[in-house]
Amino acid sequence: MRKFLAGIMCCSLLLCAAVAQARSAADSYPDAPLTLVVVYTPGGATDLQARISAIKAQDPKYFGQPMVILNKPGAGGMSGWNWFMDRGSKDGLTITAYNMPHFIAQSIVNKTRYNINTFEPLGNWGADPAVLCVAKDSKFKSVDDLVKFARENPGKLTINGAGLYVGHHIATLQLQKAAGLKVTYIPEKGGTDALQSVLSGKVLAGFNNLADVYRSQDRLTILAVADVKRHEFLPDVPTFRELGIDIDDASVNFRGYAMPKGVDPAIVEKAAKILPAMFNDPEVVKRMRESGSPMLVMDREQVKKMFVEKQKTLEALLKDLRND
Amino acid sequence: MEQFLLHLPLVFDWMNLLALLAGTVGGLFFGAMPGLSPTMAVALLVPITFYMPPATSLILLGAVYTSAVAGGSISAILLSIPGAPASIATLFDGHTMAKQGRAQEALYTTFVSSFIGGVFGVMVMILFSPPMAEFAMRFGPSELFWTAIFGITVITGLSSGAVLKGLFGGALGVLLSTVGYSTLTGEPRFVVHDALASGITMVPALIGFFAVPQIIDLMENSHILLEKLTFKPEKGMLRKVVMAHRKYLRTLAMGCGLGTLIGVVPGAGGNVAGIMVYDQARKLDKHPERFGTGDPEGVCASECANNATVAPAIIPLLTLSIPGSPTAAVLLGGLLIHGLFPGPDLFTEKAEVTYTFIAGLFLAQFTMLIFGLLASRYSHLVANAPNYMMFAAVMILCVFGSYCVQNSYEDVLVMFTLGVLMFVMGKFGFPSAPIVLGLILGPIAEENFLRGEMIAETNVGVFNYFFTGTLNIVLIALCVLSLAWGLYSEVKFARKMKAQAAAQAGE
Amino acid sequence: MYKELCSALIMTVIIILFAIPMTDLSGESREVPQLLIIAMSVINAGQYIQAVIKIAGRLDVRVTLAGYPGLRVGILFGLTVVYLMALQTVGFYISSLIYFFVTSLLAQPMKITPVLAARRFVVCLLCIGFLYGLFTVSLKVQIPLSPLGI
Repeated sequence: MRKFLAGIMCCSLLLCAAVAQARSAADSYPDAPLTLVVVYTPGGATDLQARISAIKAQDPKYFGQPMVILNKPGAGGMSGWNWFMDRGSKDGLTITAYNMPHFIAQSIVNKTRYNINTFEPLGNWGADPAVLCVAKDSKFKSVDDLVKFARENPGKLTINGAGLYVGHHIATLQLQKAAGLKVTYIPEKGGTDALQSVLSGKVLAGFNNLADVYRSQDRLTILAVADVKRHEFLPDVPTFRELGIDIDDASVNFRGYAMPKGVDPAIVEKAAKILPAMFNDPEVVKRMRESGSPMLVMDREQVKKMFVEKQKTLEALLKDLRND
Repeated sequence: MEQFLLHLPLVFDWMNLLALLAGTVGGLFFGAMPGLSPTMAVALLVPITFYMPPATSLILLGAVYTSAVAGGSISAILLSIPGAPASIATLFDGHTMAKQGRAQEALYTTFVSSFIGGVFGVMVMILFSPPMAEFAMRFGPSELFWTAIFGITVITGLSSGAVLKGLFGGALGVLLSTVGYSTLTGEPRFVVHDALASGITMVPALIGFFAVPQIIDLMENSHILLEKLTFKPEKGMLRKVVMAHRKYLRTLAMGCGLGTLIGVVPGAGGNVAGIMVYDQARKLDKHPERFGTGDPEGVCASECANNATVAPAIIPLLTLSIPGSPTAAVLLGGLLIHGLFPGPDLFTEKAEVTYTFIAGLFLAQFTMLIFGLLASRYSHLVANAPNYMMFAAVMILCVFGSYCVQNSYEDVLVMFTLGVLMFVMGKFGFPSAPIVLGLILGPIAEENFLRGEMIAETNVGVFNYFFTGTLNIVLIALCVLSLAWGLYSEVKFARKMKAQAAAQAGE
Repeated sequence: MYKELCSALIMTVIIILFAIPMTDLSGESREVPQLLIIAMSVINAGQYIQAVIKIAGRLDVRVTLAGYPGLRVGILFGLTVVYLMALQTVGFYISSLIYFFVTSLLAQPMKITPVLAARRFVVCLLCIGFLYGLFTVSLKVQIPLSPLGI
């Protein structure tokens, strides 16, 4: 009797698995709830902004279906994006939130299963530039002070950031190249950790997200912003270019939606058309502003161009750091 | 303090009260299920609080956090599976008591001690937030490194009679924690299979190490029908337990004090406080051997400490945006979703929400005590469940628990694999607690060591960086003392064993 | 098999398992693992010494498999492995239900009667249903479901 039962269990499970294939292609998209794969932990900056960006998905004006967030954190995003390429459904119902320059840098330095050619961008919602900041009581009062110190003491200037190959790291590399300096980059575990190290004087300076720095303005001196133009949240902070150091927006943290390659092009176009309107919805804009998250809405064509440009810049910058 | 009293009545608004009660019951339940941890409970609820008013959602999350930490002891005592890393030390004495039929006493002790520790923690939060925050800020890479090392020296105390295996386990735990992509160099380490790319996640590993061997043991005994324990609520058990706490004054003081300090230190926080205080309580006692034989004071030490860390872990979160524990880190998300940014603003502009939250946290200690004691009266239901259903039930819960941490099936596989390995090793005398401790503290020790090295090379030099500075020296002294004492008591224990063996042989 | 000696052997196996991939590492990533492997080797040496002392002093314990219900544990363990493999394709809830029902019937010492089996199935269904209500419905956790949507 018992052996029989054991046999039945194995057979029934195997049978169910065999049945697991049927999935008819949908004509009217989307016909089921969408999944947004966020490759960072719940509560982090990307997760927070992703959730805000998706609040209105259910509105018939946009997708007409709710968008459910699926967190897949690990290895700075690599685990989640690799999973997304392997197991993300190709029916247009699984979308991921991309983080630039993170995923491009990772695809250059490590052997990942994704790169700019495997992600079909749909639209961009946010652009968070990196800003250089020091503690309020620091001896550096301007970028010039910092650069002078670094020139006189090569390698002794410690600049931190929220990890490796993230925007902050890229900004540091650009600073080194553009001003001819040698600094020591200290990767931290996350944006808030990095900010705390700067505030308590453990490192001399730090690159951090504009959103996080903006909230702690009273305890920091913000020296410059690594972007092509000044930012509306911080109108008094100059860009590096204004100060004579040629840094462009390669380190700006762009965030948006992407689908895996292989999804029906008609579905991709349809989703891409809906997104800019959804991101510009007044409710979304209001919540983003309230949480201090800077927005920059771009459509599919603009993002595709941006991917290609950034790939070139980052390949040049990261040439020396490949992990083969 | 006045702000606190001012906002206390706000908690009694019906929605907040509902959140408080739901959070307490939910948290106890989550903590009690093997495989579901406080961090996960809070993480799962954060998205749901998106649509609630700020004060209500924070009260809900705070109540869940507090009760889940206390609830973890329920499964530790009854099933020998800690509901969270914080409850590991509870099972040393708690489960032994359960096997002696004193489960109810153990559970009552848990909740009374947790209550005392928790209230102390919240009072510290109300009265001493600024100086505590200041203290937390002083912990840079070198200080955090020595704190982690101090935690690791505790391992010598966790494995009496099998010191070598315990130390090996600790080292193995730290080695396991290096699996994955290094935060500091970005290089993949020991990633022989894709499932390991994001490293060994702590909760699935915890579940694997403690629960799976238990499950396999249950399989072994699944054909045995135990006699149903008839349940007679012992009259006056509660009073007896409360009175007993008067004798535990020193342990309680240590639990509250050390627990609060450990809780505020950014990083591991509550996860290790229980073990550390248990170990220190044992080392400083006249009769260390009674710990582990079913002495309620052991349960008291562990539980008082782990609940004392709850509120202090939130202090640096609210003031500086640095979480004092992994669960507090998830709470940060809960704050940000409502536009509450950590910093001085929280106590001035948004004071109403913040103080209502703190008041809610205070009251949560009371609701936890009440519901916890209530739940303990029905603990016999679990104890009486038949073995042939238990192992599958526990296995299923472990699968769900491991999966939910990171929505990852790979974690389930890691959990099971580690568990089977631990089962085999356990049969040869390897203790599981040191491996888990190594796994938790390893990353803290290594990252801060390497980061400190990087910074030190640019100014004062590695030796100076790690060995000078008042806080550093204090921590190093603690490590040395802890290690020395551990070795000393180990030698004493060995001598005693030899004497006993000689005496027996002589008879 | 002597317990202490086997423990020492287990330690050696573990050290070798970690030492092999470690040769791929370099620089800073290698520092800490290398330190640990060295420490573990020292401890291992100590364990061998302890094992030898205990065997010589007739203090060691033999570990045997006699009396261990290998068949029962083996079957239940095997079914558990099948369950874990089936989770992703068949869906968590259905495979858990089948696993729970079948293993509890297999493991019990009492005779299986149709009435008992039916009652057991209802109990299992309620338990799994409760988990479904908790995780998928209330907490909205993305648990892999079967193609049938459960």
